[in-house]
Amino acid sequence: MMALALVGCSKGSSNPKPKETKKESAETKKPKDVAIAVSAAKNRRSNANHEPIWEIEWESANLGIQDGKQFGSMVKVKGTAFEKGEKSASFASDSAVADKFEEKLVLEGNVRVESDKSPKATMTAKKVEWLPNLKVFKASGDVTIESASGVVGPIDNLYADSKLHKVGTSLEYFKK
Amino acid sequence: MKVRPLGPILVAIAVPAALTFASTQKQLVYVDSVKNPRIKIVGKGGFWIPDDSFEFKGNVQVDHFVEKFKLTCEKAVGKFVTVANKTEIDKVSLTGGVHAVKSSDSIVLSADGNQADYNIEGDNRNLKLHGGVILDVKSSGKEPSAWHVTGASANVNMKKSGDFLNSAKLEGPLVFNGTQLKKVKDKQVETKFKVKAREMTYASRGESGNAEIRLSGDIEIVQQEGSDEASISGAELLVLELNQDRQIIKVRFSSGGGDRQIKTTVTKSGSGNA
Repeated sequence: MMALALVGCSKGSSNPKPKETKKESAETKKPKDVAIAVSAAKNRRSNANHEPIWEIEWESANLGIQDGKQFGSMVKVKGTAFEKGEKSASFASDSAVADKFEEKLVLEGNVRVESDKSPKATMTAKKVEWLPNLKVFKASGDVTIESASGVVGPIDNLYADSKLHKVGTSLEYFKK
Repeated sequence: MKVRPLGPILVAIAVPAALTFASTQKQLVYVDSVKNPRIKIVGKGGFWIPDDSFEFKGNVQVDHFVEKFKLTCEKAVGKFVTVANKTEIDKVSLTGGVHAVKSSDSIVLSADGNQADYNIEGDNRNLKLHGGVILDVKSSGKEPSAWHVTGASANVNMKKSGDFLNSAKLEGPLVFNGTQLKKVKDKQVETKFKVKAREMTYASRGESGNAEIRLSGDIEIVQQEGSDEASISGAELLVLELNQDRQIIKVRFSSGGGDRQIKTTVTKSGSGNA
């Protein structure tokens, strides 16, 4: 999707230096900084076994290239985290960034994660990373988790499993 | 999906927003309810599994507001159970400088040990303490009183409400310190007891509201009243009767029969054997 969208302005090639090598010349000709806006859309990321790991919808998205690196952020998002191909939790936040190399999803601003499996629980935080390889949410900033049997938080940093059925202050609690 | 070029926004989205916290919240805090908390557990770290179990580590404090019961220790691992539609903690293993405090209107019981197990047993709450156990009771009634006992282990049964202590058994060697207040010719006389023994039991006496402490095994008693001091050896059993305010109101001891003889040595302070 990003590859299709990467069109737009470029800079840095208007004043080429007089003694540039072939390699430098090629780099300066390549568009360095690009930004585009994308309207509402939906995306699903799957793992190597073609199982979904997260699904996300956004109202708008800003995509771009800076210094040759791709990046993008989605605005007003909601979506679903999956574990072993099954829905484990739904989430919503002001913005989100997808890291396709680490396959993680970073949610920021008024983050709310709700478990889909009983016992139901809701986690709120300023920032939450969904780490599908570890099947863990890493939350930071006023993290609170509430269920029918109680509340934990607020606390600066907290980890939670994909169903919010276990929360802890260290990733060690989630290693099997 | 619509796509349009957008130049100026590049700078704004290229800089990741820094998270700023108004204050640091380093402690892990659990409450069973935000609006009306009955149980609160605080620690530096740990985990929580809703409706199932918990582990808290580092300066752990457990408060049961309804039962007026507080625990502090270095690590607490336990289960959540539902009793009468309320969340309770049960099968709690406590380690590292365990300090428990149970309060009633005028009496405060504190119990200390290196490790402890806390369990629900019907309407009672059981606390088994091990390692350098101290049991301390202070009454703040009209006539304040206090008693204090150290031992190797203690099995304490507390009522969830009402009277603070249902029964207790301590094993030693143990040292009991207590004060009896009595009126002699309209004058209040204070008698202090220091008792060495092997075992101690505490039991409520049902409807009378009184209680009884029984100390047994190789008893040595030092009784101090004003400047007088009496050393008593050879007794097999010492019984202290306590009133509702848990003040010592009656003391009796026996040799336990057989050839054992009770020997009393009375000394005046600074005057040697009398």
